[in-house]
Amino acid sequence: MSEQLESGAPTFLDRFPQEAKVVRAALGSSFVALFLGALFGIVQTLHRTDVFRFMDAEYYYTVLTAHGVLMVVSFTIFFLVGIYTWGVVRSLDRPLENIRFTWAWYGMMVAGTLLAVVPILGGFVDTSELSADVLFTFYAPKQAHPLFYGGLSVFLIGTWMAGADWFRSYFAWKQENPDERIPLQTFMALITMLMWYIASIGITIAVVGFLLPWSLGLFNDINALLTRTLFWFWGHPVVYFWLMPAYMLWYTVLPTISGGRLFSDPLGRVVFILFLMLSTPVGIHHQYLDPGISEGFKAIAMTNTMFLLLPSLLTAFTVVASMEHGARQRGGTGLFGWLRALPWRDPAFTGMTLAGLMFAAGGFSGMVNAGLNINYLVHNTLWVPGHFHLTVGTAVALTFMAGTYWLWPQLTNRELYSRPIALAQVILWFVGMALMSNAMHVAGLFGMPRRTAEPQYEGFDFTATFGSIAEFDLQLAIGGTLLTISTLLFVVNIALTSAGPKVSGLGKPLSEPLSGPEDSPEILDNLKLWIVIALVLVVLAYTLPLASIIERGGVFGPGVDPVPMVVEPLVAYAEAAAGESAVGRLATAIGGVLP
Amino acid sequence: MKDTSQAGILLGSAVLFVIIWEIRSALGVMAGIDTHPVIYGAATLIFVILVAIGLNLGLISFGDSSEKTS
Repeated sequence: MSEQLESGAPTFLDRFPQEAKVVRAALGSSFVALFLGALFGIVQTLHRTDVFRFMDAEYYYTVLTAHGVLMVVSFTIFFLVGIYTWGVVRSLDRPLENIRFTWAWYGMMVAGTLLAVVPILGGFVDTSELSADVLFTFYAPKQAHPLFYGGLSVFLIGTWMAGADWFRSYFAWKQENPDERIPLQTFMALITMLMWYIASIGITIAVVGFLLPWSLGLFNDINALLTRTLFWFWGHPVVYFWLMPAYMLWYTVLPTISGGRLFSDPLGRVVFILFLMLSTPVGIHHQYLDPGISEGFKAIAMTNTMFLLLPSLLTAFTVVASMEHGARQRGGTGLFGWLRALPWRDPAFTGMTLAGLMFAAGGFSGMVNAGLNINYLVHNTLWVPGHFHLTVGTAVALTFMAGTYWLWPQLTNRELYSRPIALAQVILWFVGMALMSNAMHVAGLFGMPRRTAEPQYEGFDFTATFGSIAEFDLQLAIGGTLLTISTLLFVVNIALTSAGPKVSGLGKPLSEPLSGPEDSPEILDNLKLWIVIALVLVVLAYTLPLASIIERGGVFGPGVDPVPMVVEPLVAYAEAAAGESAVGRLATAIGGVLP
Repeated sequence: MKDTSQAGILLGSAVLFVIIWEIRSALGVMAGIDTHPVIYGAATLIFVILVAIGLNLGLISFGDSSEKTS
């Protein structure tokens, strides 16, 4: 324990040194992934936009896979397990049950990441059989080396164990406090993990049942649509898996650093329950253009998706209300004048607020993605990366970085190396992402494809609605460069903080909510009820589509000619009538155009 | 009298820049107005810099500074 604790509150490190070590390790791992992911990101950005190309286009998918996996699997999820370990231990006010078990799941996650990254990097070595150029969306027909799927499986098991660790702590706490409500941070962590366990059903079946044995050569055929559907069963809720720790920071930390208190604890619980119920039965909205799923199922997925706006809107209200309360506590007045009283000098506050602002923009573009008909306009275009760079790339990533500025000193007993650099860093991220995602959204509206190494737009006439493709490429490259600089500033600032002198009294207690758990119905804490409802909704949303996919295409392969059936009669007719009549010539022309 | 902090100027300038730049896309996509990228970009930067200087020198104010707190 530090000697000068009297001068300030004890930190998390002072109170739970073993757990602080685990949290530091998890957050440190996430920052290594962020740094490496950012390097792959800028290589990809500069190559795609033709600003600077030093590799052959055949390596583009290797770079893209490394960027995607490191950012949205390693960076986000390592941060999640770190911040939730902190939140559970802090809010239950007790150490974890068995720190060796805790280190075991952390070790599993590290081992899984390394196993998955090795085959990805193997893609750069021409003589190596290791390859996993399958992108983050690793469903069939793209096939990776078995090591990639094995690594992801080990990583996933590590996350399950992390959840089990938090549940063990909660059950032990509950024995000692049978009449207490679940503390909010623990409630959020447990609900997130329940959602994760349900979502994992899809990816576990996809990887263990199909992708891994397929890559091992145990069978040759695979039902691509089935693996895609199972992937998106997990692939959409994983978005909320990234987002929910950011929500936890917005609900429990942001009000405190605003100078006030959370507006409503019950609303926070309702929001997380809604995420548990609604995150999973919506994945088919990623498959609007998949021909093997009926439009009716897609319409149901769209309806479910639109319901997901509700928890986000509730959050916007609650968080802004909490900030306003904080500002008025600091002396802010007037209809909007209170905004000036907020602590804008604090990088933790400013970063989280800018992240929330960008999330609003990402929510609007998300509604376009979710709309069954308007999605056709933007599907598989650069619009989609523009959208998720606002959500996971800013709402999540920027909140995590801003939250680190607040939490890291309490995990290390070291003061932040530079607050001005930290403030400049979060603002730089905001500007860089605004430029990059703006260019992506606009180029997507023009129809520019995503997942493409060199979309040149040369050698044919193309008139943009405004501006030019070259201009948007340049804007994208500038935005990506600013984001890379911002990432470097963050990593260096945290590294220098970790090397600084130890001080004491850096603890920052969290304020109590204005409306606490005593104001919420006890049924909100009935985890069994909510998980049963969530499972029922998943069964309702997925049973018929999956049955239809399997009935039509079989478990291991579609068994049908992949050429659309409508073309074959046309081609046959064209062959018979070619050269004989105008109809024949027309049919020949159509048959030549269609695949 | 200057009543805006350097942090506020930095943040405000960034947000102002983003808003004005995004307006260009809105004009282009929704109204079909094709503004010149270099001229628009330069004008945006100049405007933002002037606002930042104005705030720094106290030429632009937002009411009674006594409303502010620490």
